Amino acid sequence: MQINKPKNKMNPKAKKAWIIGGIIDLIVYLLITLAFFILNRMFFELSNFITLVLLSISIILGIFEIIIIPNIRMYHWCYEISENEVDIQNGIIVIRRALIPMARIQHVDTERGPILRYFNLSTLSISTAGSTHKIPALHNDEALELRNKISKLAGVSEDDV
Amino acid sequence: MMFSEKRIHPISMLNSFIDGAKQMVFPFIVILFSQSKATGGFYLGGYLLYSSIAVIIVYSLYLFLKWYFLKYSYNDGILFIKSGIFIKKERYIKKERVQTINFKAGIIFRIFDLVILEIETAGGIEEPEVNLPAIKKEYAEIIRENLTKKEAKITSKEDILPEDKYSNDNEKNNTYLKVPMNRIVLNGIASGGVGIIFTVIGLFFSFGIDIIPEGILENTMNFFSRFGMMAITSIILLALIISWTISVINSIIKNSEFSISKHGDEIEIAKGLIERKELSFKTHRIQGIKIIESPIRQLLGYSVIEFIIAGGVDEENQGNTIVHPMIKKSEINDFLGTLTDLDKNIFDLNNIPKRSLKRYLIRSLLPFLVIPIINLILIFNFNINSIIWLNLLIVLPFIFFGYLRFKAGGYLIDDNTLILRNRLFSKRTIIVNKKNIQHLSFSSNLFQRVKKLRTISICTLSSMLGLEFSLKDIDLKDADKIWTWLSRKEHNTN
Repeated sequence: MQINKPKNKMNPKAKKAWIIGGIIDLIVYLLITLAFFILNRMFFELSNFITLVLLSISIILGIFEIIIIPNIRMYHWCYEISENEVDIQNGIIVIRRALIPMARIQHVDTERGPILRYFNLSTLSISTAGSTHKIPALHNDEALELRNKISKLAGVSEDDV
Repeated sequence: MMFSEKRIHPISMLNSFIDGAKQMVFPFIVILFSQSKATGGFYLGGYLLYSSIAVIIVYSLYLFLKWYFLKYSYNDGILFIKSGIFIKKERYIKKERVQTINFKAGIIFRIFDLVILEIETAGGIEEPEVNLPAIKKEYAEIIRENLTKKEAKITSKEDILPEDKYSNDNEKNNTYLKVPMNRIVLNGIASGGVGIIFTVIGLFFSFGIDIIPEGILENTMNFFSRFGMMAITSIILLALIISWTISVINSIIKNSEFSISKHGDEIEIAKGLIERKELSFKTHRIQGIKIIESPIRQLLGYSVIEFIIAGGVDEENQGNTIVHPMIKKSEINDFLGTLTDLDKNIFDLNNIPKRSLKRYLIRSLLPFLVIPIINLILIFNFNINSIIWLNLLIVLPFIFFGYLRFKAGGYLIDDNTLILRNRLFSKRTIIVNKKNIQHLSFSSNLFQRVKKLRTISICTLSSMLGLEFSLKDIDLKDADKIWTWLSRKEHNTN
């Protein structure tokens, strides 16, 4: 028997948010490389090879963060919230699928970093007594709706077998 | 019942500042001393002064922003807390999940009629879920009243700590078992370690060296060099033996007169010769059972049984309570059957598929990738060619362990019980009830996905954070079986 993937995919805006995050990171890496280059010229006088290495690392990381990782995430990450449990799949190289019984959920938080906030997205953080699971980049309203839904279901469900 | 958004009392900033300052005192003194060594006197000027002032200003600003952005409100059974300067966090605490509410107040707080409000929700996480550092007492009391009002109703209807299969009816009451002394001694020997000596050495090297005057150090060095390697080796050996013996005696004293008793649905564990510890807990607080066989114990045929208790009772062992320090394998099934409602043979588990063996062996060898590098260094510097045989010698035990790990892996689902078994060095079996599983997750990397294997992890409650137990490389079909066992959805077949 094959288990189906959880049915809700990530918000497409999430991809944009991740890409922009990646672009910002790339800019930071390039700035660091530039800073090193200037300092090298002025003080260190080490080989230019190191600058080239830094540059290539920056570009490779940039490609990963801007192109590869957002696509992998969009492909794999999904979630499903049903009456009795929350089902989340995430991960990039190691794909992880978690099943969280509704009765074990303690509290639900929302988080918004500056980039996500610009896109009106939030991260939903579901905590059990022992661990926390996140569904990133949900639309603000959806996050709120899910939070309410889970809070209600988590409070109500019985601990029967 | 509700009250609108409030901020906590500003005096909390002063409190945090004092706490922060306390943390900075030691590093500050260290810097001061090292500075004075260089300049030949205590000098609180220049860089040190300016940077201290800068740090104070920045820290105060941070505390202010933190205070400014922390707001709380209460409405209809839910306590709502907003916090965060850049990353905004919103926390909703529901009445049904609240387990304990504490007030704490020092002298200064009491003068202003303030309290620190701490709320712990069901589940034994070490830090309280909520920590509002300075609320007016009346508000705190309103919150407390409202969040705990229905407590009586809740504990009878929907228990905060899960009621599970291990709880007993009063028919099976009053059991008493005392662990015989010979087993306590064996336990001491099996657990004995030489840790103490390393702690002492560590302490010595971090503080002692600077204090000892030059002369004594030189004399000691001379003393040792005169007697040579033999002396040094025998002294070290002696130290290790003494340390080990102390540890064994310590363990024996701590575990003497180990008794396990049960009245109705309450279990009591008592141990200790000089200092007597008595831990008691109700059977419904048991989150899981752990059986651990360390290599020594396994050779002798014994195991340790621990209960994982919500809210933890014993501070040692990561909050797991040792219920029997030295039980024979053949006694386990009966023992667990008496204490809990478990009626299975916990040794009859499904195994890991054969194709996972390779992965287990590779994993066990991975840490030793460093060996080829050592080889290269040795060959190039010392021209030793027979190093290859040395390699085999080192690698063999780890291949052996890899195989043991593979053999130890197993799982079983039966009714509402899940049993998982793995090995790192000790063989560990965990027995949990469906209800106590905080979450179940499967993960796979590229290789596993190709081979249709998954790694399963479950998380149960413990006194500290959740306790995770993983079993690597089980068959995808078995993983699906466990998933459907836990999930309450209708599953479509593909």
